[in-house]
Amino acid sequence: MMTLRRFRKLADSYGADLQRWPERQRAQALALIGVSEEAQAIITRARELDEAITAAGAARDARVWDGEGADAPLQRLRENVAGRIRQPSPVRVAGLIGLHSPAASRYRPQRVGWVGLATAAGLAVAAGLTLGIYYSPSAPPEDLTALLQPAPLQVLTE
Amino acid sequence: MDWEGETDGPDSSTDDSRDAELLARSATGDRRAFDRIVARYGPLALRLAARIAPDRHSAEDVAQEAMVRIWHRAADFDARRARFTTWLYRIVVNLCIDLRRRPRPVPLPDDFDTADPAAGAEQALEHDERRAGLARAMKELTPGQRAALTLVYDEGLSGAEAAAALGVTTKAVERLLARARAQLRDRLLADGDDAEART
Repeated sequence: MMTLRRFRKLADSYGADLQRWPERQRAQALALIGVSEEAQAIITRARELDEAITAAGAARDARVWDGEGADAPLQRLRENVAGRIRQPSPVRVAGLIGLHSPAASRYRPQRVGWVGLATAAGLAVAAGLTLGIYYSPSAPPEDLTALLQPAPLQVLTE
Repeated sequence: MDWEGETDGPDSSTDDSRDAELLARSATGDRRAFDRIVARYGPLALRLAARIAPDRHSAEDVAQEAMVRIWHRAADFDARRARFTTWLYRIVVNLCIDLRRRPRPVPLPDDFDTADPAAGAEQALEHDERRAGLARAMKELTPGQRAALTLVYDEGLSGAEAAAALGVTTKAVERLLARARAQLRDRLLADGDDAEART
């Protein structure tokens, strides 16, 4: 049978509700409660504290979110998270370049394949060409020649 | 605040497999799938953070940061090794503990700028004095103690499950719980003595 010392220790941690106690200890604890007045007193005291803790937790919850509907903090969370994850996930980038990803390997979007990748590549090339045509300078700036001059040797030897 | 809804039933294997699928889709960049994760587990993250973090704004920051971390590390999740909720608990708790290590501006108290006590309010305040004292005592616990207490008492986790979420042994969880309860009991007794002295 469980010793009273062990019983008190478990009650000090888990309180009066035996459902919280380690499963293997419950039957022995119940047996001890049945025969020991001291064990019963320990449970009674633990229950009082349990109730106070539960009430305090509920009071804190109510005060923390006072004045707001239940959905407001969640809605803020969803919006803020959505705003922060608009950047591509590093994991996704890793997946695209072929690095191992356990979760990604378990899920394969069915509509993305070589056709999608080829389309994306084609669009990228077209965009590059367009930018090149419209934004390439017609002549190098006048000081470009000076910039391309090799550094004077004395600079390297100083 | 009532956190009911889709959030409190992740106990079945169906839920676990659904979480795993949503996370796998998130890992490929599916933001809509991830929004479902946030909608489903956001209340849990907020509730847990609010119980451990020092104030509401910190709690919201923690919940948000936890979700963003999960998004970036969704590919690391392996449903065969752990449940999603265990992973979430751990991230939220670690972020709450990190809060204490970071220097930050002193937040306004939660009861800042409340309405002036009107007739009857004072009586209600006295009625709730014991509860308020205990709530203050809970804030004085270490984040680890608050986390253990919240996981076991509020979330209904077993000692072993709480240990997995906290990344410690079951014995360590029992010690955290015992110290937290002892501190709360002492506070209750002290408040009781004060009340007797006043009468």
